Amino acid sequence: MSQEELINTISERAGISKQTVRDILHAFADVWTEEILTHGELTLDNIGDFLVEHRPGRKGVNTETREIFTIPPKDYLSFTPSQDLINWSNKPS
Amino acid sequence: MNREELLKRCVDRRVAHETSVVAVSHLFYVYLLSALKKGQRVEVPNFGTFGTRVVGAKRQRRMPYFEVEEELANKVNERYRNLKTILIGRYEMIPVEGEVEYSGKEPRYDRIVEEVGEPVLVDTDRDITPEEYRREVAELRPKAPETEAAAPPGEVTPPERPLEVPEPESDQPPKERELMPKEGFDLREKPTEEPTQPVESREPMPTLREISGGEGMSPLMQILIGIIILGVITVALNEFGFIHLWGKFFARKVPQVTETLPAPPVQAPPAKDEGAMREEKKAEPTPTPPPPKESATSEAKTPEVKTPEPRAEIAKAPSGTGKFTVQVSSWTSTADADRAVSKWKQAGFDAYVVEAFVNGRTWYRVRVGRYATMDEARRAAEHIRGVQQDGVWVTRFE
Repeated sequence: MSQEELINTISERAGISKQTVRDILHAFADVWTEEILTHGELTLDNIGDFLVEHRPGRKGVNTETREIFTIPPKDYLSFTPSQDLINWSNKPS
Repeated sequence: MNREELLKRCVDRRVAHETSVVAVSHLFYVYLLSALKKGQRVEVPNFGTFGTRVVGAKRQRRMPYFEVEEELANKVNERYRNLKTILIGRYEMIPVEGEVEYSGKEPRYDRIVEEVGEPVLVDTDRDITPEEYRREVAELRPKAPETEAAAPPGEVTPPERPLEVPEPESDQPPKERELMPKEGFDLREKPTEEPTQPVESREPMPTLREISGGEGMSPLMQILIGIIILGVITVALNEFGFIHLWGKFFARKVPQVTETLPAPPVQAPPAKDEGAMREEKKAEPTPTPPPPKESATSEAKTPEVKTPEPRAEIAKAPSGTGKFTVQVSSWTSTADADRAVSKWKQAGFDAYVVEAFVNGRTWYRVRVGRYATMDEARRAAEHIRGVQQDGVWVTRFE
């Protein structure tokens, strides 16, 4: 379900204009992004946990060219689905 | 963050009315859960994409995942965003006698390190700037005393290059290739030196244009010109009568007699003329259209009557301004048609010839008069049937 499909579906179901739905979803994303960048973590009820984690730099090797190089460190966003969401996804319909 | 807090912060931003925010939030959760249950992906604008993938070998199950959007990933990785991969050395495979089996746990190059020195990882537990990172990497870079002697004096710099640099497999030893001098090294700088490739590989492959003789036409143009030439040949063959696909563009000349005659009155001939006609009819034992009945009747019975008029029909001697006319006979030769026209004209009718192309043959239709309405034309046709019974019908003047 792409962005437009999600917006169209919610707009038709709720009777709200597409632009309003788009603005509200963007506001959701802004709030979540702000929470992640501020606290480094975000927990959505029944969905899962987002956590900013650190991956240290390391040494890498290209076995084809036989080159040794450094891979820089990185901060990335990890997602751990909640157990409820896992159970829901595997629940037979 | 629970749902109430999310709604509160969104309402504080005054994006929309609280009712709309609550409704959208509820529907978003509903559609997200239903889509994940169906195994579909849900793309959240400016945030990322939720989805499920099947995991597990023995007991397969769906595991939800989240793909972060690039913009958010860059924001999260703001501290190390400018750091790039840097080449610090090379290694060579050194065969080891005896225990050569690869356990799969340790990197294989550890046993065969060559002139790389002791690789040390970058300390990344603290905030690091690109300059610090570059300095640390420069310290990590192995010293190559052998290559210093081979390099030109004053240009010995560590081999720093991003990994995007293509490294050609040339005959030179790897030590010399590592010694590419470079000043003012920058992590973001793109390599400027061209990879040294064998001369043979640089020869360009001959293109189709060169093979076909330099400035050749494209295949599309050749096909287009071929179609045009074929069309011209077809038109010429049709025009000269070798094939009959449609009427001729250039009309043949009809005998001058039909063109130069003045237009008689459009109305049907008077009773006086009708009496004269009957007298002539009695005097002449044969009817006015003398041609063999085959041609007249067969043409009248041919599908020409039912089929629409051919498009290439050339009026030879139109007269008057009416839209309807009466056709009395049709001939395949101009001589017969002219003969019929002259007879009809002697009888006082405004006859003329129209050329038509039907079913691959050219017909010369003899028609009489021009009438403004269909009723007039029918009355005239009834009058003409007093002279000639068959092959008379009303048609539209063209």
